[in-house]
Amino acid sequence: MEVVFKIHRFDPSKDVSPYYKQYKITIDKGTTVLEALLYIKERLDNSLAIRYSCRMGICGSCGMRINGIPMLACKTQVSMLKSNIILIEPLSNNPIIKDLVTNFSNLFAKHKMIKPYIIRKDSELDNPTREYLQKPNEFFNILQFALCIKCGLCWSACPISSDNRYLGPFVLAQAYRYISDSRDDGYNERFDIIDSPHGCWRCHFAGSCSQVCPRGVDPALAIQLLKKSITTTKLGLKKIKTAAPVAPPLTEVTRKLDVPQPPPRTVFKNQRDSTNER
Amino acid sequence: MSITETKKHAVASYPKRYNLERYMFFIQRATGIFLVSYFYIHIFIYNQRIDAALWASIKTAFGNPTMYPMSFIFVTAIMIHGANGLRLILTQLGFFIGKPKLPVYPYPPSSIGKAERVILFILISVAIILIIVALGEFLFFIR
Amino acid sequence: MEIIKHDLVIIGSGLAGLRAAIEASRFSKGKLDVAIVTKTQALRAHSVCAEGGTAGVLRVEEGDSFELHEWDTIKGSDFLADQDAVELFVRLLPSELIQLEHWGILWSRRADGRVDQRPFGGHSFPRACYAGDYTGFAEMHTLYDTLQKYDNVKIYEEWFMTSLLIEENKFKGITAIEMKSGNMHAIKAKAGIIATGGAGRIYSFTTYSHTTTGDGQAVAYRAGIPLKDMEFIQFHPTGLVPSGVLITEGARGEGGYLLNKEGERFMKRYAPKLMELAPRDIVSRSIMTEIIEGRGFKRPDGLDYVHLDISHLGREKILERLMSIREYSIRLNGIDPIYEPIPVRPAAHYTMGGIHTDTYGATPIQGLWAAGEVACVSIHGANRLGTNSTAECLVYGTLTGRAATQYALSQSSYSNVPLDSIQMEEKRVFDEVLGKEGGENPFEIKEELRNLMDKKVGIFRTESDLKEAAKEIRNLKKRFKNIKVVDKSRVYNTNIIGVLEIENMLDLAEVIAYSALARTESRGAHYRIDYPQRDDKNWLKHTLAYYTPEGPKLDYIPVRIIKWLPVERKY
Ligand SMILES: Cc1cc2nc3c(=O)[nH]c(=O)nc-3n(C[C@H](O)[C@H](O)[C@H](O)COP(=O)(O)OP(=O)(O)OC[C@H]3O[C@@H](n4cnc5c(N)ncnc54)[C@H](O)[C@@H]3O)c2cc1C
Ligand code: FES
Repeated sequence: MEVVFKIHRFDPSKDVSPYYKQYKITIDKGTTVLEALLYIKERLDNSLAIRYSCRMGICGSCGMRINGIPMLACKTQVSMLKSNIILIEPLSNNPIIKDLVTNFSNLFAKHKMIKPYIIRKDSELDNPTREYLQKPNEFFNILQFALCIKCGLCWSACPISSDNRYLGPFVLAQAYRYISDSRDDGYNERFDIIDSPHGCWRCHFAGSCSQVCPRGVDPALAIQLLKKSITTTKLGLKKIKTAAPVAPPLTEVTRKLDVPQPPPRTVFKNQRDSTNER
Repeated sequence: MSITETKKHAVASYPKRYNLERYMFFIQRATGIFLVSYFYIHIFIYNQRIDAALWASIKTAFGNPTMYPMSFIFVTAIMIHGANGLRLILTQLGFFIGKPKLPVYPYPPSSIGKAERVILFILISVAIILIIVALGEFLFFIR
Repeated sequence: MEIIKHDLVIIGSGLAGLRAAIEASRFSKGKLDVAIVTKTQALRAHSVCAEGGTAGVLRVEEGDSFELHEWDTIKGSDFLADQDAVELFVRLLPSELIQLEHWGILWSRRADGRVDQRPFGGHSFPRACYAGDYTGFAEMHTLYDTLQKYDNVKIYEEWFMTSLLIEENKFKGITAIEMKSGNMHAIKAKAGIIATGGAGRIYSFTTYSHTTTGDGQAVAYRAGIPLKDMEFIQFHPTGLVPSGVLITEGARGEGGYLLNKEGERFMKRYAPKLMELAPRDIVSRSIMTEIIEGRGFKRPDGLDYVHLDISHLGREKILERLMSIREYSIRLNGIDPIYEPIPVRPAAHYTMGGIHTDTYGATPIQGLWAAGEVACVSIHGANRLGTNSTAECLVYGTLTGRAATQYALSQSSYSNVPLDSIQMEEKRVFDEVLGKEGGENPFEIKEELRNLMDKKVGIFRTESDLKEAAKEIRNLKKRFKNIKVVDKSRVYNTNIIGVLEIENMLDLAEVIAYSALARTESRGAHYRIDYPQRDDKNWLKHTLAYYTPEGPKLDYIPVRIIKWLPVERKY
């Protein structure tokens, strides 16, 4: 099948303004947009700049707007787009570095602002003995949000993200993921930044972050839940959770396994190196 | 993204345009700006020292059927903005958006899922019915 | 050109690099000035691709033991692993796993809220902690998130390391290209840790990310550090055909079957006891044997395959524990594994070899450590067991992070970096490479190299194939001198980065071919059709390859054996 790729090109060191360049290539049934772009890059025009790595939709590098909608290039099959002209543009709301590559440093800086790590007071946190207990419901409560690959598609789709100070969908989803983690104790420390005018209240629930999310994170859900949580806290209705305890030692062995023993040692320490020949 | 699950072949397809809620966001913005400016103009006019003659002329101007469309747009905006706003209040308090769960490919988001869509359609339908009623009224007056 | 100063520079932001950075910050209580240099964005490192799990002895009560894990690892390595290193590694692992849990990773759990473990190939006890089938991703993001706690770490994202600055056997710093501006910078540091991952993109059918091109190994090799055991390349039995995306071993760990064309579970003929859960080298060879003997499914492009069937595991289990591989097969092949078997064939997956280090991850250069897949300690010997490599990244990230911190804190002042070698490097990259105006397209050379390696230095090797490969690689190297670099702009020039990567790949391919040619035995992942037996008398030793302009010079060092003498390896 023959398709035309219309690709956004812009090299700030020599172009005054962005332009579109067309490439006509033949694709197979299963070709992904990333494969097609790499073919263009490696065979037709070495100078095309793309960011990519894993080609399996887990590293989050290859986000771009494909026919106007933010998608992961490696996760999208060309033939399924059902169109003969494919418009490829960089993600919106991020400064463009070159061609299809945008600058994420603003987003990562915001990610740092919400303290994306477990906050606890106990000394166990850095001196581990046994795992903290986590019940299945506590696990599934945050699993979905922990699957975020920070590819920035949500940021690009969000109609409010043109406000650069807005924390943005995935950052807020991470905030929810950490405050709802049964092991975490840092709700109060994160409260002000989430509650700020550029925090969750900036969201007006356009929902497109959730629509374009390639991992099913559903950031819109997380943000609405944040709003709910903050509202209930302010009304004094929020149940205060205590951070999960450390698991007790395993006394009852529930699994009966047929475990073989390692064979007896055949070399002893004092004999060290005796077998080595050179 | 959606996926057709048949026994033999599962096929994923990709969205061609953004979701309904995103369009609703722009409509909400537009009606909001319109209503707020309307409100300000309204307050402004009523805050003027108006003598009886001017007042009479304003009254006739607005009583004129050519101004009915204007009022109709106003009513429409209120209806849409109100209905959608009600949905937003409900969803932002955590209703109708589902719960976090194990995502299953192709990962349909629950926040813009069935429950939320149903609420959206119900509220918008109510708004549209009211708009139609209003339209009938206006047409009646025009005649 | 700018010279930047840091106490410790870590190259690579994969599991090993991030873990080392955290350890350095923690150990120095935030006092050490740490830099992470990475050619991708920090959390896009290849480690996110790891799927199956991370091994560790957590359940002694249920019958697991350190000795058993050691034995499994050593037997899996075909007795080429250094046993003192394995001992150390196995003992440090459990606390690493629990530490990750405390930092917030969502390990899959048992119903009672404890961490669950799944069976994995070559392990006699189900000891792989896992997070669904996105373990590496979960670990990477947990470490990246935890790193945000510390303000003493500066991350240089999208900086491509081009050379190591070494003087009188002492580490001085690195040079790197900042991709965004296209400028070369030198980072001078008291200590360094290389954690740049594997080299698997040298192969064409591979599970690796596009960015794993073995830069770390190649740069160290050219700086005079020997590469150890490079002939051992692991082929994972189940790469999705035709993309090469990994179908995790966890799929077999959960109970999946491998079936040939006749619908037979053929592993019963090769490993009657462990069946599908035999170590990877054995399963890969079994699959290839089936394919060669005509019991595989044919494909017009030559990527013949067998079936991996997990449909009998049931919908629930697949959705919960194998969700990503379901996604990959639906998205890339239109096959839903709940109903249908997945087409798979062996794919290049892991580089057992790497930069020569001692038991604690230190390279022969003073002040320089190597950790993760780029290093060869060697824990994995001739064949790595699944789940042992993310484990290695964690343990050795910690060890090297701590050692490098101690070293850097003990050094009172920065020594001067050799200015002329910085200038030479700048000239080499921007005048010579960027200015190339020949007729060859470098990416075509890369494609040829990768196909060559698949064909001639693959799972089954022979002397004639290897000789031919070595000759072909020399040839490609010659052609590489005559390439054309189209993009002359400095800003985000992926063209020149690509070319530098290809240069590295060519060097490493040569080392792999030469080392493999010299090793006239079959051990672990290195299988010579002309020498099908393991030869402990002559070959129970590690290969070391040294750089010379004419090609690699090989040397050998003994294996450290402290517990078990080699015995026959049967599963
Ligand atoms: C598909 C797949 C699945 C796997 N599954 C498992 C599993 O289930 N269990 C398991 O134990 N292991 C698994 N492995 C192996 C394991 O993932 C890797 O061995 C491990 O992640 C390597 O981590 P690393 O930190 O050493 O390097 P990487 O994660 O590869 O990181 C390399 C880093 O170095 C940087 N870098 C590279 N070159 C340069 C340069 N020139 N300049 C600057 N920076 C540079 C990169 O940007 C990157 O940040 C899997 C591997 C693959 C391919
Ligand atoms: S290349 Fe990693 S997400 Fe597409």
